[in-house]
Amino acid sequence: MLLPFIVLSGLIAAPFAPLVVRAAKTRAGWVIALLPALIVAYLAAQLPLVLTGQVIEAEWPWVPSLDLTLAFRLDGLGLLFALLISGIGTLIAIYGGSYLKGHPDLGRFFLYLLVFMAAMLGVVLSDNLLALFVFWEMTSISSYLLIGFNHDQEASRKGALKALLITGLGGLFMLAGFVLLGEMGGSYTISQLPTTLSTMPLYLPMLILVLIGAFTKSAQWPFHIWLPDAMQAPTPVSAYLHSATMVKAGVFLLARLSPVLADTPAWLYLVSGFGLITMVAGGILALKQSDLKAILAYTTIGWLGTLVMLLGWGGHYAVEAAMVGVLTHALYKGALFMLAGGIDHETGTRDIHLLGGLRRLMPVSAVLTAAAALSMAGIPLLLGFVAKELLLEAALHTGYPDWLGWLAVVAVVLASLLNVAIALRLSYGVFFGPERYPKREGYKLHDPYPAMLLGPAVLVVLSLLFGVWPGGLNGMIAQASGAVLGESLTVKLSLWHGINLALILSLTAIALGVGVYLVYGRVANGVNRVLRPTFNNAYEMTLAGMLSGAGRLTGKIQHGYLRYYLMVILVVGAAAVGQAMIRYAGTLFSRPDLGNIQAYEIMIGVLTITAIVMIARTDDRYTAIVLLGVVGALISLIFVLFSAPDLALTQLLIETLMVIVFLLVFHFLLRDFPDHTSTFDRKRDLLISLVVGAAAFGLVLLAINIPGDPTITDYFVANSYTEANGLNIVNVILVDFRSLDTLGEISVLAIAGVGIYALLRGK
Amino acid sequence: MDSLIVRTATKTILPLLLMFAIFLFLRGHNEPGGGFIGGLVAAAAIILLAVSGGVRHAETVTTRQTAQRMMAVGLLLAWLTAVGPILWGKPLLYGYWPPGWEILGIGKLGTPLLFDLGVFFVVIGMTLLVVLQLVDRVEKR
Repeated sequence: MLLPFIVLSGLIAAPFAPLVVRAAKTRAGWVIALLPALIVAYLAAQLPLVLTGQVIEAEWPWVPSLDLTLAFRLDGLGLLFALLISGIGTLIAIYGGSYLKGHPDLGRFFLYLLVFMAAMLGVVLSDNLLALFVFWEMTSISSYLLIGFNHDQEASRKGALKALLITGLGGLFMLAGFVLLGEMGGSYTISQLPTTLSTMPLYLPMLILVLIGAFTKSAQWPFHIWLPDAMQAPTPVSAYLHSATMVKAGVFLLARLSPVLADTPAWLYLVSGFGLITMVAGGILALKQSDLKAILAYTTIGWLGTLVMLLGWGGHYAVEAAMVGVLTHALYKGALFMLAGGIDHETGTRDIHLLGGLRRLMPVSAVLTAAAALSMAGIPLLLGFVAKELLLEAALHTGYPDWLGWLAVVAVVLASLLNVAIALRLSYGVFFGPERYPKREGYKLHDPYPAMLLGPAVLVVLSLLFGVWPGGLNGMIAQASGAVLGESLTVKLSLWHGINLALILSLTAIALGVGVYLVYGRVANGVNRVLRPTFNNAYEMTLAGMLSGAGRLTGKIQHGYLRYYLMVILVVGAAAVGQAMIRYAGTLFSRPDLGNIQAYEIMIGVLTITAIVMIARTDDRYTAIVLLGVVGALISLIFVLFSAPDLALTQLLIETLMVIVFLLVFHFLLRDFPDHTSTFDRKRDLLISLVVGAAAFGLVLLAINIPGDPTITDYFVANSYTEANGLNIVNVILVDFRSLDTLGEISVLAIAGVGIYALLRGK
Repeated sequence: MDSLIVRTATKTILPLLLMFAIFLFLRGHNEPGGGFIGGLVAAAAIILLAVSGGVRHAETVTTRQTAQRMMAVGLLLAWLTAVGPILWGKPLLYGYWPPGWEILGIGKLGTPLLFDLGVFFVVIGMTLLVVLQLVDRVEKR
């Protein structure tokens, strides 16, 4: 039953992060890291249970009427992701504390980070589709705040907005897909969804909607454009969100829903197709980058494509490859991001053209970068090698027809060799060769602080450990893959499979990769000349178009002329009454029973009409205002006569105040009505007045002729004293029966008051 | 408008008007009146001061800052009586009437009266804030 607390602990702790920073100062990162470390400990304690195939479940009701529960489920797949999220989260907290040391907003940074971590844990451990969606959107929002952390820079804000718009929009599509999924499956609990969904008529639309959500989040082509711009985030954020966790949420979703959605041609071709394109596109686009983080971003896109492609293929080769791939990539890419941040921190640049030969000055960074890059390139004795072997093996066992299968193999080899070339560029290019970096006066370049090296070191050691001893992952990968495939299986990972086709392909890729590295400059130029930022332009144009369109529309509707607003309101109101009058035309003019009309009632009527005619005829604003007050007072007199004292009191007071306010406001205007209004305007105003007057008259006729529902009145009369201890029904309704309305009204009143006050105070 | 007669008269009738406002507010549950009407009467009384003798004159009784605070306090009071019952497991805006609490002329006492007091203050505060500021603008012109 601890599970929900574990997931939500980040949300509970987040508000206290700024206090921790204030108290712990420079050690804040270490203190914050305690929370994810505790989560790692909890998860590790569940490891023996989960490895024997057991599932830990806990459920809290949230909105039962919507079938929305906080149901959490820890199985092999969830555990693998949760361990990555909390484990790397621990390292990032320590790294971030050092990277942003002394930053005035460090507390805010940790606050967002903890919220994000909780949201991410919620995504991977939720067993309820709607709760998963809520956590999913929470990751979008917290990542928006994290990417835009340096909010005084325009590029940061733009990058954050782009990520939010694309992933948020994708999330909405996904919500629609989830609703279809839940209604078709008869349950919003993921583990209870039936496997017969693929035979239902709405399967394809539902699948496409869900895929849009997964693809936008995991930066699949053509939605990949947000990820490079998200590199505006501080490096700890990129290392956490954009390598290990958030971008893998889409991959996770595909894995989670595989048991119920996969095994159809639509799934196979859609998922693996987009994955394959993304894999190749990410690799090629990475070639033309020169910014360290941009290179890492594009290779991440490429690898996300690989994972999506593998899940599209399905089958145990591909799924095992995907699970090992998730782990491998998190380990080496997280390390590379953190190391790139260290280089940036020290040299002040991330431009690879300005860097070289740093190995003597930053020896520890050099060794760690080299090891992480070797894993990226898939060199034996590192986990990357195991992952690539599995990947190639899977490529040889796709569900494709033969010719397409070979195309897939070629694509995988191409992506692999590009990874080799880029890995060389990142490690060899930066740390070897002639020494060059932007010199700063009186600053001796050195390795970053230990807190910034701890993270990459731990990740690299894990890469090496499991690279040498892949068997150690057997249980974990078997449980995770089993959850994806919906069956239990055993996995035997090993370093040496003997000489087979996969090994030969792997060695070919390495050799070709080294070759590409040697002619890197020419390849990059070629890519640069051929590729144009098509989708980015489309995004920019759409965004600009929407903004200017909204601006034009607002300009048309909110023109700022009070008289036209009034005209619209009055005419629409009259039209509404008018259509009701047409509907009840039959009863409208049946002569109503008005009772005995008294002489003084007629006098009040005559006085009122006289005042109104005078208002229309006067040229003096003050006279008009006072006459309006007279009309109001006469109407309140009518209320008195028809025994509605509360109404009469209110009307009289409001009229009094209104006359005062009008007089004050008109102090700023000319005393006489301007007589430059054209005859057209006058005729139009007269027409509107007549129409509105007729409508008001019709409304009164309707009210007299059509009796209201007497049960409402009777209810209040009968219950006013017994239920609410009051005899004045009007007031009892205001403060008791319908007090929610009153609450809303006084809130609006107060807001309006503050608004008017602010406007009046201005110049 | 600067009239000695009005200014002097206002000073005399102001306490009466304010007392009348409170009276209207208190009897509201059983007789015509209530927080809204009472609040308007009180506000109108002070506005009379402002119109006859200027903002300075009115602000000897209630400053704009006080008005703003009244509005805030009233809103807070209304929201607290609205949300409070939830803590006791009752629905929003549940009215609680302590048994036996009754005052001659007012009737039974309960949380709706507190809610109405919130309305009373919001209406006074909002009206005064806006009108006093408006009078101030006119005077400075």
